[in-house]
Amino acid sequence: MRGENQGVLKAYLKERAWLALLLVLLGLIVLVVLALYGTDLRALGYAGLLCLLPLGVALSIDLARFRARHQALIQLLPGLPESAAHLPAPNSLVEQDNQALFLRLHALYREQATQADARHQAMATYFTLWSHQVKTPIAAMRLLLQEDTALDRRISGELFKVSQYVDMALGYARLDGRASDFVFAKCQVLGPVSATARRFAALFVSKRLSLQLEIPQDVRVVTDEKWLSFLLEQLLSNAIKYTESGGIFITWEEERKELVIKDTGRGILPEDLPRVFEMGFTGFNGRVDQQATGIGLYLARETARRLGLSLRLDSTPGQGTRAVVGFPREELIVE
Amino acid sequence: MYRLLIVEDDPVIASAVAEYLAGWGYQVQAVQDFNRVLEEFAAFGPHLVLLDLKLPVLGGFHWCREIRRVSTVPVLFIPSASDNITAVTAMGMGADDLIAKPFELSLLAAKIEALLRRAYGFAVAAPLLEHGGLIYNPADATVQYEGQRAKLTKNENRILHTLMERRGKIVSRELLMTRLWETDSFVDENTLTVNVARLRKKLEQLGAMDLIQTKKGMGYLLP
Repeated sequence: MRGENQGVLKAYLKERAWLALLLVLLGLIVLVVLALYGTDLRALGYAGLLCLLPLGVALSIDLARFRARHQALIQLLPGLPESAAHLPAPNSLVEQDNQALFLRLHALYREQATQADARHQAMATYFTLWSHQVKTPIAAMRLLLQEDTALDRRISGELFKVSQYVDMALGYARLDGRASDFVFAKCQVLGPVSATARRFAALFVSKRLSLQLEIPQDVRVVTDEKWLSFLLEQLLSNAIKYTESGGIFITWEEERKELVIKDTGRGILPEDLPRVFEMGFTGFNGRVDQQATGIGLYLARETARRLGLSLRLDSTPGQGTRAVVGFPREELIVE
Repeated sequence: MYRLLIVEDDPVIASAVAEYLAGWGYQVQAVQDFNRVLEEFAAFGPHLVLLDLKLPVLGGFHWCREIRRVSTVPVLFIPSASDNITAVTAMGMGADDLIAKPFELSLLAAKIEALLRRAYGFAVAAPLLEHGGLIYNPADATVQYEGQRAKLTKNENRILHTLMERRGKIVSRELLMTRLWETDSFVDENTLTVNVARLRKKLEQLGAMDLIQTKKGMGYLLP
C-alpha cells in the first residue's frame, strides 16, 4: 500500500512538474523585480509564506482527486467496462476522447468474439453431425465383415481403429465446446469398465493378452458414465497398444477410491512421463510406433479434469505401466 | 415360426441383419415404405419389432408409440451408439430393450431370443437348429439328442451358438474367444480349450459322438 502510494505521488509530481517549474519561475520574476524596486524583503517573504498556504491546500485536493481517479480506473481493470455508463465521468476533453476510443475498441472486440463463437459453434455442430453420419457406414461395414477369416479380422481391426478415431475427434470437439454435456449420476464402476473392455475383445484376443477384472459389483461412484467410458477407452487403448505379452489388470482400491489399470507392457521412459498428457506429445514410444499421435492421453486428462477425477501414470520401462484414476473420497451430494 | 419386423433405413444394415436372423430360423421382413410403417406392421403381424430411431419422415419414437397403441409385441430399439439413449429412456418410450449399433449380430440374436422367451414362453415354438441329429434350442440354452436333454452353461451355449451359426465352416479359436469376451467372459486360451472339452463331453453323454471336430491350427468345425 505504501509503495503504491509512493508510486501515485511520484506519478503526480511528474505530471505536475511543469506547473512547479512555472511557479518557481514566476516567483523568481516577482522577487527580482520587486527587489530591484527596493521593496522590503521581509514583506516579500511574508507574501510568499501566505501564498504557500492556498498553494498547499490546492495541491492536496488535486493530489487526492488524482489518486481517487487512478483508483477508480484501476478497479475497472479485471472486468472490462461494457459501456460509457460503467466508466467514471470524463473530467477532461482528452479523457473523453480516450473513453470514446476505448468503447469503440471494445465494441469491435465483442463483435469479433461473437463471430468467432458462432463460427466455432457451426463447426462443432457440423462436426458432430459428420461423426454421426460416418458411424452408420462403419456399423454397416462391421455387419458385412462376418467371415471368420484372417482378412476379415484384419479389416475389422482397422475399422475398429477408424471408429475409435471418430469417437476421439468427437470427444475432442465436445470437451472443447462451451456447452458441456456432462450428466452426473450415481453409477456402478464395473458396468462401464467391462463394457469398455468388451469393445476391445477382438484386440485382446488377437494379441493374446489376458484381462483380469477385479471390481466388486457394489462399487458405485457419482460421475458421468458416458465420459467415464470415454476416459477408460483411452487408457485401455494405450495399455493394449503398448503391451506385447502378458495382460492387463483392472482393480479397485476401495480405501483410496482409485481405479487402477495395470499392464505388463513396454512402459514409459522416466523422462517422457511428465509430458505424456501434453497434446501431441509422443515421446520415445511414439517414435517407435509411428501411429501414435499424442492425443489419447491428452483427451484422457482433459476428461478426467472435467469429471473432477485425478489421473496419474506410474511406469517402469520394460515392466509395465499403471494408470490410476482417483475418484473424490467424499460422497458428492447430487441434487 | 417367429416373425420379426425390421424398421431400419440403412439398406446395408437392414439386409445384413435380416440375412443373419433368417439363418437362425426366423421369418424376417424389412419395412420398405417409411411412411407406412404401421400398415406394414399390421400386414406382417410380427412377434417382435427391431426399431431404429433415426428414420426418414417420422422417427422411431413415433412408430413405437403407434405400435404400442395397437399391440404389446416386444420392441427392441436399435439406435446408433451416438444417439445417446439409455435403456431407461428406451423403456420410458415403450421399448422392451435396446442394443446400440454397431452391435455384434450374435449378441443381437441373444437379445431377441431372451425377449421372445419372456414374451411368449413356450406358446410359440422357438426356432430350433438341427445338426447331425443334435437339436439345439438357443432360446433356453438346451440341446437334445435322441430324446435326451441337457442344459448348457453360459460359455458352452455361447460356443455352440457360434459353431451352429457357422455349421459346415471352420470356426477359429479367435472368433470363439472374441464371442466369449463379448459376454463378459474374459477367458484365456486354456479356458476355451477346457470349455470346448466340457461341451464335447456333454454332447457325448447324450450319445452325440464326435460332433465337434478339431482342425489343428485352425479351429473347430461342425461338419
